[in-house]
Amino acid sequence: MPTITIDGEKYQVDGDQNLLSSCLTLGLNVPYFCWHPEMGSVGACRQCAMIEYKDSEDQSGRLIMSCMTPVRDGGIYSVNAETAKEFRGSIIEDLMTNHPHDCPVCEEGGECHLQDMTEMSGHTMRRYRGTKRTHRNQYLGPFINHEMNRCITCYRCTRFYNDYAGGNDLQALGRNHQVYFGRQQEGRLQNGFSGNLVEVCPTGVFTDKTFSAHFVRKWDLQTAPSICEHCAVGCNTAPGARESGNGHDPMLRRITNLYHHDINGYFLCDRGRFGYEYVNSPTRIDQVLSARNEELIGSTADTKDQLHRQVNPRDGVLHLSVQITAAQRKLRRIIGIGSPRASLENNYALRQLVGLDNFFSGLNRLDQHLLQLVNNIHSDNRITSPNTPEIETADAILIIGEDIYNTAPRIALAVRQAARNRQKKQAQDLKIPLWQDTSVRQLEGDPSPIIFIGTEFTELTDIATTTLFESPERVTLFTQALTQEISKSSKQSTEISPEFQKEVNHTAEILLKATNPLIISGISSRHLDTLNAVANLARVLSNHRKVPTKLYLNCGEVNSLGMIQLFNEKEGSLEQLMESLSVSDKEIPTSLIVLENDLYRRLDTPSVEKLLSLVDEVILIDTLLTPTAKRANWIFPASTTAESQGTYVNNNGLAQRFYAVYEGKGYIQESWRWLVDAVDFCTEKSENYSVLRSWKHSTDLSDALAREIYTLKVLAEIGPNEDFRIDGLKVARQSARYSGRTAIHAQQHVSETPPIKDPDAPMNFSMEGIHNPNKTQLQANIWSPGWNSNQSIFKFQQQVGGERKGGPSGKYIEFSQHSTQDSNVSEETSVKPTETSNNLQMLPIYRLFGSEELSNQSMSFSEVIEAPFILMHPDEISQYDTQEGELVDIETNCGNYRAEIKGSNTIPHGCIGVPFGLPGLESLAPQIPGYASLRPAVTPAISEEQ
Amino acid sequence: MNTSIWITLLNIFGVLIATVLLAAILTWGERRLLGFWQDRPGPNRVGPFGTLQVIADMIKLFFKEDFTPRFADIPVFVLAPTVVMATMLIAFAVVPMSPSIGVADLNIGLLFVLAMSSIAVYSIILGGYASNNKYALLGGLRAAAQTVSYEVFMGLSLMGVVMMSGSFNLRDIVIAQADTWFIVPQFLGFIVFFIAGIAESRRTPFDLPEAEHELTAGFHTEYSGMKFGMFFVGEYLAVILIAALITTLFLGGWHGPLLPPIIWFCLKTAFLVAIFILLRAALPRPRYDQLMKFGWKVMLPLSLVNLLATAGILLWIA
Amino acid sequence: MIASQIRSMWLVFKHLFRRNVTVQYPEEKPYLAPRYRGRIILSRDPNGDERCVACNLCAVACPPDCISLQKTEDPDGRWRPEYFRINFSRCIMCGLCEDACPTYAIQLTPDFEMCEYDRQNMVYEKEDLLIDGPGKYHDYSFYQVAGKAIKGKDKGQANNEAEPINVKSLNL
Repeated sequence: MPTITIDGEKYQVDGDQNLLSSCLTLGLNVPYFCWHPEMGSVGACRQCAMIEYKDSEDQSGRLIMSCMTPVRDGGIYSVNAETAKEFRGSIIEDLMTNHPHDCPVCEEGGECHLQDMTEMSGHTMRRYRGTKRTHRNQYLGPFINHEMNRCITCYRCTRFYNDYAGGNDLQALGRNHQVYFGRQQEGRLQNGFSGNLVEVCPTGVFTDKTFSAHFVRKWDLQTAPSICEHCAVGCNTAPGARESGNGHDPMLRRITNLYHHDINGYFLCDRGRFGYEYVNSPTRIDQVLSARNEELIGSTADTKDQLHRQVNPRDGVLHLSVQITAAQRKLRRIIGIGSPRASLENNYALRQLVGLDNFFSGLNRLDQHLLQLVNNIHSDNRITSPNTPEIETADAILIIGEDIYNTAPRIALAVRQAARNRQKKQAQDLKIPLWQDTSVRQLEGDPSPIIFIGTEFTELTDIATTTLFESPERVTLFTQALTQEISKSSKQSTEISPEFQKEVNHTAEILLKATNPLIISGISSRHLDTLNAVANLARVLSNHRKVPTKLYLNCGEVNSLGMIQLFNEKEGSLEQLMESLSVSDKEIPTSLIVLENDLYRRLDTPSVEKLLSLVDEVILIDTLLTPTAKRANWIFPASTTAESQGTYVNNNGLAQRFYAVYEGKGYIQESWRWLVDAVDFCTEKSENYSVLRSWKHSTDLSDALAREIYTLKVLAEIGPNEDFRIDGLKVARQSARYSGRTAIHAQQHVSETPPIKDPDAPMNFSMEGIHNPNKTQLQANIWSPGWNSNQSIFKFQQQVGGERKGGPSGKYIEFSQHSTQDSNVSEETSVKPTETSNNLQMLPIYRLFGSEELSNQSMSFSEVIEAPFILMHPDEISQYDTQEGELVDIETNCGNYRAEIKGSNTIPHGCIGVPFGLPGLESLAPQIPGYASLRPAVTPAISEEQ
Repeated sequence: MNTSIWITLLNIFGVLIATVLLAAILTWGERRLLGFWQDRPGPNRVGPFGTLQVIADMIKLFFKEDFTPRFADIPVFVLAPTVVMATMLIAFAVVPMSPSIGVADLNIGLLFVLAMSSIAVYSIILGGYASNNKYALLGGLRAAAQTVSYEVFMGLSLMGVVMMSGSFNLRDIVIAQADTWFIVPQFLGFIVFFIAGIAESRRTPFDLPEAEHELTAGFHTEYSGMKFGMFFVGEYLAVILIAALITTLFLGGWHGPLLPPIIWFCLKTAFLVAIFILLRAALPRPRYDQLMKFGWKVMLPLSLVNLLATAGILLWIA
Repeated sequence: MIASQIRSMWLVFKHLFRRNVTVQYPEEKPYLAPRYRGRIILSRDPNGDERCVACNLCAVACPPDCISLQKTEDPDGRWRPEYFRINFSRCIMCGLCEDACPTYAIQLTPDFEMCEYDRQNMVYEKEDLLIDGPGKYHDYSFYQVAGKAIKGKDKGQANNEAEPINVKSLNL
C-alpha cells in the first residue's frame, strides 16, 4: 500500500483509488461535485483541487484535481494549502453566479451537496453583479421535479442516467454557458432508475415530487434502517416519517437509499423509491372492522361481500380469543394462511398459534413448488447465490426466463454494469485506472457476453449480446440442450433445429470460456421444468468448472424464501388446504386466519370462492383493503414494513432485519401482536399458548424461530436486540435538529406527551439517545457534520465504496444441505389445457410499475401503471378480427377480462403475454400459465373482473 | 393590685408586642432597604410606601396550606419552629431598654441571653431532622456545627465587658458605660461579638444552614405556612436581639445626650439592624470550610487575646 | 480582605442615593425599541401575499422547538405553510427564528403583554400570527429575489435575471 503525506500527516492508502477517494476514505473533508463513488471521475467541476508538491523542498507545489490524480507512493499533497483553498473558493463562487437563491423553496435545502460545499469552501458573499442565466423547467413525470436554474453542470445526471442506468431520454442540451439537462420533449423519464437522480444530483435540479407533496426537511424525518418490500432483492432503505401537526395521522414521507455493499450499493429502483405511498393510502386499514349483518338497500356491493363497521379493538381481540379457546377445546378448527409478503416473525406467530398442520402458505401449488425448488437448489453446495458486486464483476451472464428489469430491478442495474467488464479488462490491460470514467468508456471493445432467453426482456436489450424470445417450453429445451452440450453428454435431443443448436453451442462456448460466468433465473416464468433445467445446468457447469456456479434466482416477493422455510417439502399450498377442508369434519366450525395475503392474487376466483365457502369465518390481518377483505368477517389492521420490526429473507438467502420507522396510525400493530393479544385474553392453559404469551418483543420471536427452525438459526445473530445500548443509551430515530417537538401537537394539548416507547428495537421514537451509532447497523440518518447531504455516506463506510462501518447487516441463512438429485422434475402441476376452445397460452409478463401488489396503491403510480393490456405477436393479431390498440375480451375458465391488445415481437406464436398483477387483471395472474381465448370486445362492456 | 405590677405587666406586654411587631415590620424594612441598595424600590404597592406589605404577608402565611410531609417526624416537626420564637422572645426579658423599661433584672442576665440564643439552635436542628429530607438535615447539621463553633468565642468575647463592669447584670453593664462606651476599650471584643452575633442569628454571610444555592432552603425546606413564618420571625427576632445586645454591651445602652433614653436605645439598635441588612446586601456567602476555619483559627484566638489583654490591663491598673 | 469587604459594603451603601431603575409598570410603560423581541408575527409582502414559504428554518432554529409548520404548494407555484403554529407557552422570545427567516416573514414585535389564564390559549395558529402589513421590511419580496417561477413572475423576471434560454435556438 502506498504511503502519502497530506498536510504533513502520513497515511497508508489503497493504490487503486484516486487521490480524492483516498482522502475521503481517510475522513478528510475535500469538496467535490462531479465525482461519484460509483461512477468515477471526469474532472468536470474543478472543485476538488489540491496541491501536489514535487518533494519536501517544494514550497509552492502545483494545483491538481484530486479526483483525476492517481495516488503516488511517497506523494506529498495538501488540502488546506492557501492556494488550493483560494482556488476552490473561486470555483464555487463561479458556480454560484447563476444560482437562483431559492433554497427556502427548494426540496433539496438542508440536504444539499451544493450548500455543503459552498459552506466548506468558505464562499459567503456574492460579488457578481451581472444577470443570472435562467432556464425553463420540464415536466418529467409524477416522480421527479425539474428546476433547471439550480444546475451547476456537473454532468452527474446524464452520466448516471445514460452511462450507468442505460436511459436514453435525458440529455445535455445546448452548449457553453447554456447547457441544459432535460428531455427533448416534456414527459416522464422512462428509465426505471430515474429516482436516483434525486440523490445523484448535488443540487436541487431533480427532486422527489412525491416527497414534495408532504414535504419536510431532512432533519425533521424520523428514520430507521428498513428493507424495501416491493421485490425480493432486499435493498436497504432509509424511510423517513414524521407526524403531522394538522390533526392528520403520522405519515411515511419518503424512501431514500441506505447503502448496503452487497445488495443495493448507492442506487434504488423507482418502484422501491416511490412505491412507499401505499402506506399512506386511503385504502389502508387502521381500525378493527367487523362484518355487520344488516344489508344495505341499494348497495352496489357484490352479494357475498361483507359490509364492515368499526369496532372497539378489544371486542375484536376478545372474539379472536374466544375462537382460539374453542379451538383448544376441539370445538373449532383454526386454519392459518401465511404470506410471502409478511415477515418471518408474523408467519411464525401464526404457525405457532394454529400448529403446523393447520398452517398454509397462501400460495397456489405451482408457486409453492417453485419456491421449494428454489430452496432445494440453494441447498446444493455446487451452487452459490451471487450478491450484487459479484454480478457486476461476472464476465458472462446467461439470463433464463427472467425479465429482471421488471421483477428484480436492482439486479438489472448490476447486470448492466457487468456488460462493461470486457471494456474494464481492456482498460486494466492498458493501465488505465477504472475510476477514469470517460477514458474507460471511450475504449472500443466488445461488450461482455450477456445472453437472454425467455419471453420478455425489458430495458436490457441494448446490452444483451444474444436475445432469444421463446416460449417457456422452448426455454426449457434450450437449457436442457445447453446442459447436455456442457456435460458433453452423448444423447442428443432430436427436437432441436440446427439454428437453435447453433445458439446452444455458442452459449456453451461462452459459458465455458468465461472465468466468472453467472446464471440468472427465477420463478417469474412460473415454469417448474425451466427452473429444474436451470438447476441442472448450474450443477453441470459446476461439475465441469470444479467451482460452485453462481446462480441468481429471483423469488418474486420480499419474504418468499423466508416463508418457505416454515413449511415441509411439498406441503402448505392452498390446494392442499382445500383438500383438507373438503374431507374434514363438517360438524366442527372452521375459522380461517389470513395473514397479510390477498387470496384472489393466489388462486383463480372460483377456487377462492370455493375455499371461502368451506370455512365458517374469515379473519383477515392485513394492511390494505384487498378483495379478500370484502369477504372477511373480521379485519385487523396490520403494520407495514416501515411501521414494524421483523426479518425478511432475500433472493440470496440473506436474512435482514428491518426496524420500525414510526408508529402507525389508528390501531395498527404488528400482525403477531394481534395474535399474542388474543392469546393473552384466552382462559385456556396450554404449553403452546404460554409460548405465545411469553413474546413481548419482536426479537423474542426471532430467537424462537432461530431455535426451532434449523435453517433460520442465524436469526438469533442478526442485529442487536432490544437490550442493546451504547453508553447506556438507545439509538435516536430523530436527528438532533428535529424541530417542533413542543408545538406539533400543541393544538390538541399544550402539554407534551411522552414519546412512544419501542419494545422491539434498541431505538427511541425521539431525539433522545445516540445519534451516530456508527459501530452498529442501526445508522439510517446519513448525516455528518458539514455533510448534510447523502454524500456523507462515505463517513459511514470502511472505505469509499466499501462495507459499512457497522459491518454488513443481515446474515445468510443456512439452507439444509440434503443431497439433491440431479434431476427432480416435478410430475404434477404441468398445466394441461382443459378446454380446447381456449387455445392461447398465457405467459406472465411483468411491469416495474403494476406487477407488485403493495406499490400499486401508491398515489403517484396511478399515472404510470398501464391500463389493462395483453401482448401478442403482431402477425397473429389480425387472426382475431382486431388490431393493435383495440380492446379485446379474454376468456378463461374462470372469467372474462377486457384489455387492450398490443403487438410485441417477443411473444411466441400461440401465446399471449399477460401482465402479472396489473390493476384490473390481478385475478388473471393465478391462472398463468393457463389457456385463454380472445375475441374482439363488444359493447356494452362486461365488467372487467368477471 | 399595685402600680408596680401594672408597670411590670406593661413592661412585659410592651416589650413582647414591640419586639414581635418590630420583627414583622423588619420583614418589610429589610426588603425595602435591600431594594434601595439594589437601585429598585422594593415592596411599595401595599399601603403607603408598601408598609402594609407586612399585613399582606401575614395573611398569606396564615392562609397558605400548612403542609406537613407524610415522611416527617410530625410532633417534632410541629414543635421545632416554636422553639426559636419562644427562646428569642424570652431572651428579650433581660434586655434593659431604658432605666425604666425592661422586664427582668437578672443578676446573670448575660448568661441567660447566651443560654437562650443557644437553645434557639435546637429549633433548627430539630426542624432539619424532623423534616426527614436530605437538604433539611444537612442544613440542621450545619447550624449545629456553626453554633458550636461560634458560641465559644461569643461568650469569651463578652468576658472583657464583664470584667470591666464587674457584673453579669445587663443593667449594671449599661450603667458602667455612663462615661465610656465599652466599644472603645473593648473594640476587639465588639468585633468578635458582632461577627459571632451574625453567625448566631444565621444571617448572611453566615446563612449556611439555609444556603439556597446548595440546599434548596436548608432546614426549612419542608416548612410552609405559619410554621415557616415562625422560623422567619425567629430570625428577625434574633437580629433585633443581637442588635439590642450589642447596644447594651458595647454602645452604652440607653445613654445619650438630649433625647430620652428609650429613643437612644432604639436608634442604636435600629442602626445596628441596618448594618446587618447592609451586610446581607453586600457580602457573599463563604464556603462552609472557610466559615469553620475563620471561626476556629481567627476568631477564637482573637477573643482569647482580647480576654488576656483585658485581664492583664485590669490587673495592671489595679 | 477585610478592607475589600468594607469597601463593598460602602459601595452598596452608596446605592441608597442612586435613582431607582425600576419602571412602575403598568402605570408607566417602558420604552420598547422597534426591534424589541416580543410577540411573534407573520408578515406579508408588499403585494399582500403571505411571506412565509414554509422553509422550516425558523422551526429548526427554535431552541425550545415551539414552532411547527407544514409546507404545501399553491397552484400558482408558491410555497406556503398549510398550518403554522407557535406555542408561546414555550417560546423564550430569543429571536433566533427571525434571524433564521430568509424571507423576513417571521418578525418579533415590541409586545410582550400576552398573559392567559388557560395555557392552551398561548398556542397561536397562522390566523393569529398573520398581520396585514410587511412589518419592519417594507419593500422585500422573496420571489422577486429567488429564481423560482410563480404565477405572475416567470423565469427571467426576478431581479438580475436574464431571459430564459431556448436550447432549441441556434443562437446560443
